[in-house]
Amino acid sequence: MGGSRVSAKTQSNTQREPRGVRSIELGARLLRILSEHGEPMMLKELSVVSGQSSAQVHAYMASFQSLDFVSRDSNGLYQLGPACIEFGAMRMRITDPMKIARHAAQSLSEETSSSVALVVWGSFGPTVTEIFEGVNQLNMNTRPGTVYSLSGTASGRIFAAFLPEETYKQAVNRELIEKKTSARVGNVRKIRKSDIEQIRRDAFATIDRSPVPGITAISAPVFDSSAQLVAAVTLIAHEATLEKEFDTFASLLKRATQSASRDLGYSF
Amino acid sequence: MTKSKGIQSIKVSGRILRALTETERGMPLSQLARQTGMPPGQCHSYVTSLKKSRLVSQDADTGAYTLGPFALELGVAWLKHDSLAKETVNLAKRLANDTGFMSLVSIWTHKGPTIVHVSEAVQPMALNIRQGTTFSSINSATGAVFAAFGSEVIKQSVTRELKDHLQFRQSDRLHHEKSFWDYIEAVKNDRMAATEGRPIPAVNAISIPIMGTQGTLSFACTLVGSITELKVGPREKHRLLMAQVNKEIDSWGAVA
Repeated sequence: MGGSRVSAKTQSNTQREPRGVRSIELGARLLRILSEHGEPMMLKELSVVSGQSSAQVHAYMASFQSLDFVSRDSNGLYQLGPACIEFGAMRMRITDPMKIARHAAQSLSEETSSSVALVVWGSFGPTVTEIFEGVNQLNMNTRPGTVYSLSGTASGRIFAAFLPEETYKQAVNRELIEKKTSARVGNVRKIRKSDIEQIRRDAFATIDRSPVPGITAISAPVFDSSAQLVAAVTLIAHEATLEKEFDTFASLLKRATQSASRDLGYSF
Repeated sequence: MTKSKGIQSIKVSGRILRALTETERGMPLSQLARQTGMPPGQCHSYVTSLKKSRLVSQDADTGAYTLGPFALELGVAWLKHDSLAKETVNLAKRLANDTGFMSLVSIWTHKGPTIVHVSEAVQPMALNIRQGTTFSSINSATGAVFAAFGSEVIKQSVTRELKDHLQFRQSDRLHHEKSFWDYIEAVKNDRMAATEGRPIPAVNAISIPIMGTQGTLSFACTLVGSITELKVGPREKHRLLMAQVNKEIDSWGAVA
């Protein structure tokens, strides 16, 4: 473990790439096991779960400990150490949630050849920040800056389900007292509690009576590391198209938003 | 033999990851190799495995390396595992819920006070504050908490930032070295720091220290609200609330 010996070995190991590769990947796997387990772990448990000998795991843990990647609790059990949050904070710093959500929307539009909207929470409600148009341009009342209703659009319903309770209540009350002439897209109506619960379970929303005849939408949430809603990604298509491709499009939408959330440090 | 090799490559990986925390735009291989004292070929093989493990990312356009998404996952997992971190994040959530203000948890990194958790306000304000955002250590409530309760290393870093700042703005009375440390002394006595309209105009903040079991500063927990709603005067409601929170925190010792 002495520093000078380590550097001497580093020199002599120059040519042996595969071994270096394997030990780093095993090390990362051990960190993943610790991170997914949630509770401090015994050496034996770690050895069983990773399929490595106790001696082997012990050696890894000792080096992770010297880097503060791993620490031991008062019972001697292993857990993630304080260096994790330092590296995590630096990764947060270079991770732009909007850029990642935008990338998810754009790739989804390319994969499905459909229009995909990126919708964020603005001062007046769910607000479209960008539209990626599909091959068949849709004629619809959505462009960057459009504000959706919370209850009458698929995107709005994602916000209804995943905003903090109080934020949602205040916003929905504002919507209800708004004049009929409001420029908000989507009819304002009551959302059933059971609908909200369904959306929360599925992390997915659709709309039965769409604001534009013949056009319908499905929407899913992107979350950040604090488990807060960053954006809704919404696929908009002709009813006929979406009906035919529903399962494919729904699973592509879910995959895109889940992978964006994971990149933002959200854990499922 | 296998054992020591495991150790060695993990240690080298640690050096590479440390070097990558210094960069936001990313580092080309040659620079990374230089900073970690390795031949580029050897560095490349390490970085390739770190990339496979998602601890390192490579920019598709520039080829430059940065920390990868697994680094973020580990950080978020640590926030959920570490008992003091968990307690602090729960406190932030509760404060946001009870007061309606944005509530933050920050740690100290070599970039200064850095936000690691955000509980959004009930009426979200248009602020560019998110996880990973850093605060000035001499011009923010969060920074003042680190200056007042932080380790020697943190104090040295604050002193450096103060010196740099004073070079450009010698007339800045608040930051005149003596008055700054007087202010920090008051923060120590109050066990909280409050700022009005700094660093963001029309936005106020109150921050309190969360000390670890060793008596060292682990986190700052900060309330952020508009100047009209979050009042920070000595006898104001939210200041008293934070004083109350300070009392509760004293009983946390049992959990750690």
